[in-house]
Amino acid sequence: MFPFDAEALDAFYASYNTAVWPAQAVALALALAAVWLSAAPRGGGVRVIGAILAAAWLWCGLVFFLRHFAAYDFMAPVYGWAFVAQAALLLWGLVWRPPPLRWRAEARGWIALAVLVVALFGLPALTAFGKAGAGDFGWAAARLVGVAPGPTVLFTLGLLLLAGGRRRWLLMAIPLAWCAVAGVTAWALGVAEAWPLPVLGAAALLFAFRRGRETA
Amino acid sequence: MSDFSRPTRRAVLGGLAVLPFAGRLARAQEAPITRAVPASGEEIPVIGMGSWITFNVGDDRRLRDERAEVLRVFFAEGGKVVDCSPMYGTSADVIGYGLEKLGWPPQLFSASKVWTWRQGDGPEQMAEQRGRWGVERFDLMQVHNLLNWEGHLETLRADKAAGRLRYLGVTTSHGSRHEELEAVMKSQPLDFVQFTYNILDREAEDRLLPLAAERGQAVLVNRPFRRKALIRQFEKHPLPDWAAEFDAANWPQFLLKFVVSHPAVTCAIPATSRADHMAQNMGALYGRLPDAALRRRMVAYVESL
Repeated sequence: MFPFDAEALDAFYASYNTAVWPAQAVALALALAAVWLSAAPRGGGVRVIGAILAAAWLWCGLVFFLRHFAAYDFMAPVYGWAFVAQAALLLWGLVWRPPPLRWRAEARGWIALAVLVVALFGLPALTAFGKAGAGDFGWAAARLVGVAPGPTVLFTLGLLLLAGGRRRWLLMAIPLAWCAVAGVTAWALGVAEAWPLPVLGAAALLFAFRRGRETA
Repeated sequence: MSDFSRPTRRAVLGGLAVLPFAGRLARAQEAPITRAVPASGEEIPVIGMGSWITFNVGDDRRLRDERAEVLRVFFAEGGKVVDCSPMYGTSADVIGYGLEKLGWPPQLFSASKVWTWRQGDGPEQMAEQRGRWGVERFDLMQVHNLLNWEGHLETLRADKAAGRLRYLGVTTSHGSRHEELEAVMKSQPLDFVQFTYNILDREAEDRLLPLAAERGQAVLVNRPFRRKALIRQFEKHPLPDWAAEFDAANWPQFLLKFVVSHPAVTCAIPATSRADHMAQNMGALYGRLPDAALRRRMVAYVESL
């Protein structure tokens, strides 16, 4: 039961993106730095990745949901605090007790890279131009990593796919739950661009599970 | 079930149909269908408008102007009852924007809701809604989805006695919590009740609608189209020729005339984001209504599709 339609959601994103500019550019730079650190690990690199992810979730929780989206959706506070909780989990699981996290040229690594590319570039492009009829807002309404929940969730799953240890399951719980919420949104609003979240979320779950069995 | 059809001038005016703006000319000479609020005898048009989803467009200027146009058509075509809720996001702000743009149409019958767990938060929420609409008082204030109805009805009774609102009521939607609603209708003095009723969701005919008539409670009907689902379901099928017998020119009018032809219904509140759809909806405010036999035929027809 969503109290808005696809066109109103686009209008909201256009207004939000204007309000928070240039946070998008900073978030993109930090996200690219996190990808680079996963491919070229160095001392403290995982902690930096964890801090970047936690900052993105905190921003989405406090700024996106609680400050901006709350006016549109009575469920926004619930979503907002869930994102804040995930930020705390990421600080605990990646910063305080960093697991091994490294990109390798193997199946899981390529899947993770695909998820990261979709989060960084695919989803913004789909949300900017993927809608027929209501896409009057173009790039202004793009959902962008670090400041919007969808791409931030996918980006997090992509990096967590590269992580070892059992704690990653706990860290993936809220992102995977959000993928399910996005699937319901896509179905209810009839928007195609939300489908990558449940599809790639399911793929991430599958590959994380496979890795768990391989390392068990 | 009584026949609520009224005399029409369509036969006389039919010849004008070939002229430009003939519909508007005919409309101007035709009285809208109204029903009396049992508590006061005040007549209100049987077609109102809801705002769930459709008016939650935030501060986007273009979308706000489009919704203001929806309101303009609504009032121009004889509408009065506008319904909203604090649950509907920015809808109250957008209604307020539209009302201001239209110069505060005097015929407005403002209906909103209180929707909060704590009784103590109700007055502040209602004051906030008044501010967002830009009205000094609401005509009707309802307890949304029966949330803490006991506490809020106490507040609303005091507000009504103090002249801060004219009518009070309770609501449900989606056909939920009918048993609890029935108990509230039986035990509480209510001016209005609001629930879901449409040509496929007719559960309310069994108990709620007769009870409302018996208790003298006006009925607002939400989801007369199941949002858009009924129109999408039926629009690929032809409108039967006999729809002309009750002056339904399209599926929205067919569906709305079914709802408001029930004698216990006071007003249906379909929601739309489009001015052309609003104009279609408001067509149901004029002409004849189906009688009991036609209502049965309408049900049989849509169930055969």
